[in-house]
Amino acid sequence: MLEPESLLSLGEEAVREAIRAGASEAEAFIVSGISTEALFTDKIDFITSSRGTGLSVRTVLGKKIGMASTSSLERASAREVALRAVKIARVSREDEKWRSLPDRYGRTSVKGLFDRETAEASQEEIRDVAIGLVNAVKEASPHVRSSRGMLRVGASITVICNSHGQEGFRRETGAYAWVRALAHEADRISTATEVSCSRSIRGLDPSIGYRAARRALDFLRAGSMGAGQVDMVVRGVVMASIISTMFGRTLTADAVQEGRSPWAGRLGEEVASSSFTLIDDGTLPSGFRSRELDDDGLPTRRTTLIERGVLRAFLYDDYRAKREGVSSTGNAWRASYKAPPRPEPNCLMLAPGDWGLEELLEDTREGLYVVETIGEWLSDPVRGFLNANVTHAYLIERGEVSRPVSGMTISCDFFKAMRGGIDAFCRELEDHMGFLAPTTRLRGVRISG
Amino acid sequence: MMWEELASLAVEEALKLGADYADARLEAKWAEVVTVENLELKSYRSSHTKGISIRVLVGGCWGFASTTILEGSEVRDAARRAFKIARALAGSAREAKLAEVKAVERAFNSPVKEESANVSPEEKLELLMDMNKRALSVEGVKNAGASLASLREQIFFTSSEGAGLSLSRSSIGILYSSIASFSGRMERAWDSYSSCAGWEFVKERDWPSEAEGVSNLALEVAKARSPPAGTYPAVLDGFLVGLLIHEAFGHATEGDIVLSGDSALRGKLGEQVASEHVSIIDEGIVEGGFYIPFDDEGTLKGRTVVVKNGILKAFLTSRSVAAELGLRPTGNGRAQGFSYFPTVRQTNYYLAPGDQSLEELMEGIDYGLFLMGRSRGGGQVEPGMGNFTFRAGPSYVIRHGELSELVRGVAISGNVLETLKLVEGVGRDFQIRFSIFAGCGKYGQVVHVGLGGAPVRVKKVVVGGA
Repeated sequence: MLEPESLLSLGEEAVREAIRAGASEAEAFIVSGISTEALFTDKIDFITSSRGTGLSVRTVLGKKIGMASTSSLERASAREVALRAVKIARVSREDEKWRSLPDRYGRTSVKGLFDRETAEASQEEIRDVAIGLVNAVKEASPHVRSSRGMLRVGASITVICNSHGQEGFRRETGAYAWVRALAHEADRISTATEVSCSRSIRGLDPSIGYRAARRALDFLRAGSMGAGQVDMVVRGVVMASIISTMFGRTLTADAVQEGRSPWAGRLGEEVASSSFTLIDDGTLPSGFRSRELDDDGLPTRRTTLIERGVLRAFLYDDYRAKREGVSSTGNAWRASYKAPPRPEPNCLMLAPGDWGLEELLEDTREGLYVVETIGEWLSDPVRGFLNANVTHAYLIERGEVSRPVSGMTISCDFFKAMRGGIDAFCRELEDHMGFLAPTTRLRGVRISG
Repeated sequence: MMWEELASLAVEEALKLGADYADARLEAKWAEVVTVENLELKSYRSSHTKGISIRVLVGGCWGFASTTILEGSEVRDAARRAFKIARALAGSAREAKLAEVKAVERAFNSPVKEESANVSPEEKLELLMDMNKRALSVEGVKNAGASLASLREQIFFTSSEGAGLSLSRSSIGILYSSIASFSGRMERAWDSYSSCAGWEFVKERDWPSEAEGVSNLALEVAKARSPPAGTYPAVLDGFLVGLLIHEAFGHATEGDIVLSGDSALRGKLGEQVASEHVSIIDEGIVEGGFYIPFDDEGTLKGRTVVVKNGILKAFLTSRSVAAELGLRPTGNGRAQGFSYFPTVRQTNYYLAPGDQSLEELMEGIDYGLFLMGRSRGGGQVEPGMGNFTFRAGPSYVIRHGELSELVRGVAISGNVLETLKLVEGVGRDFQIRFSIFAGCGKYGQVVHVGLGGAPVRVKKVVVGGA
């Protein structure tokens, strides 16, 4: 992996070239990273090692913007890409709402986003972690094995600089693993999946294999459930995925300004019950979506979006913030170095409450404890309709978890539920790729068998 | 150093180190994406990426490394990294063997008449602006967007067995969406068409009218109701069938999933897995689909009959999966790009057409749904148990065998083997589509796939409501 100084010098050269070619403003964004990935079943299938680089240049001519990128970090490529970006800007239409690139970068100190041990992990160490995940499944029972899993470990440097003399960089590491366990007994099979993500290889939860295995075994005897309405206790990771679908692309300023968000024009409105609080935090220590500076070069922060039921804020990148004359919330993300920045959540979290899981199940008396779903991300965040296929749930009977059930479709008006139907939150936050939520109760959810 | 020489250098270096087999893939991609929203140019960007990967087999263990730095020393280093990984896996990896394929030397070019790169940016912008204007002219439409994407790829594959395959492929597509509001209810509708072609594809259609059509659809849907949750007899259009077949059945026919025990179709070769009306094909070059003459292991991709009249005939395989399953390689070892290891993926996967008209398929349905793929959501499947869930686009109620009122998109779910056995008839209107804007995700890799089929009638489908 290259050092920030050499990347910054390359970025500055690209910016200079763009200005020389007539740009009024220019910005270079460079990424250099290495990642190692293992794909496994009950043995490792393969390990890959990828070294990747990328440079993009955004140029402004008055109010006309162009963007070009290359995977090559050669000096000649940097100059060529700068000229290409200027050429595109020349033929672009004026964006009347354009103000300027940021004239002052910044950085928030966030702990735990770079782990040297992870950045320097050898192929052998990564192999051994993958083997550990496989073995954890086997240890649960002779009737279960890992049918598929993946481990990815990576490190990257991101550098950004612009023609206002601003420059910044961040170093990050990440580790991500998932394991699917397969249990078999006579002619029956069942599967279960667990995921873990962390900023360090040591931070991965080593018990995911075991947990997936235990659940797969449980679901060998899964039954079904008839249609009707039930109270649901939804496991934190499932809830976190629901939160990312329901709010991840609609509480952002681009959606609001472009008329794509159901929340537009509703700041200050009571949109949920007072127990419902939603926070975006780019400064969460070790957060999987935390960053010290965002993809505009601006410092991240913590933003309360829904505060005890009241809609308080939206998420901004620099461009969207300047359109409204407000400050960026440090939420600029680029899908890759090739893409322009747009606002997206950092660590988006549904605030925890004070329930313990057993207490919540007992209080619920009769219902469904949902632990795995598929398709929850197909829900409609504009109308607020939640849909999911429940692959793994347990009935709650007389306040206790009883038999496993599978294969139901659930649906509910989530926005309506926010006003009262979502009424209890556990103490622990669970992490789904940087989206966090506690185990949560949803009342009166419709089930189709 | 020349393009092919760099790939040969990687292979030679790996063999020198002691690899039993090595292959190298070089790729260069030029992409352009233009996006317009609410009559503003949102972004105009062009990207150029290139890179190489080297894959080695040492004592039955795979090693793989890639780099975007195309210099001789870096490429040699990548070969060393790949070799080191393979050595490190000795004893702890699944032993890989390669099923034999003929080492082919051949060049392929996807058909293109007018490269999109030669069309002026002004013309592209004007088209998207015209689409946007027409979309916004529909009353009640709050937002309209349109994107044009084009991609030109050059791929070169070489192996220690003597393969030398090259591919030049151009693809292009337009995606457009509208959000309409009616009585405080917002609804989004979208559509998209792509083709492995050049600018001639853009000239073939009246895109502003298409965009206006999507606006009208969004408005109609905002006014529409949802059918109550429940179980219905249904007719699915060809586009939705394509998605269903790909997700719920196609993945379960991927040989690596079969091997892992995670497929509901394991051990079912030769068995009746669907009704006799169902035949399913995976094919590399087919009209409307993505152009895939060979896979990322250098195996030519022909036509694979997966299901014939309801009987499971084949699983899709890569070379190593074919060897392990004792089947022939079907040319389905595909990777997202040079930096990814090929795994078993579908190419253009479709349900073969039958002979019934849409009216015949709907005949006798007293109350049911005509489920459509246009403006659909995505889908997800749990292949081990065969459960699936999809979001259909805006659809119609069928009353007394005829199309009646429009209803909002609905989530449908079920078990694939049960559902395919409930297919009562297949229509003759056949279509295949792929999207330059999206692809199929598996193990963190997204590849373009063609989806398609003909309309089918299913005895019952579980609908989850709005």
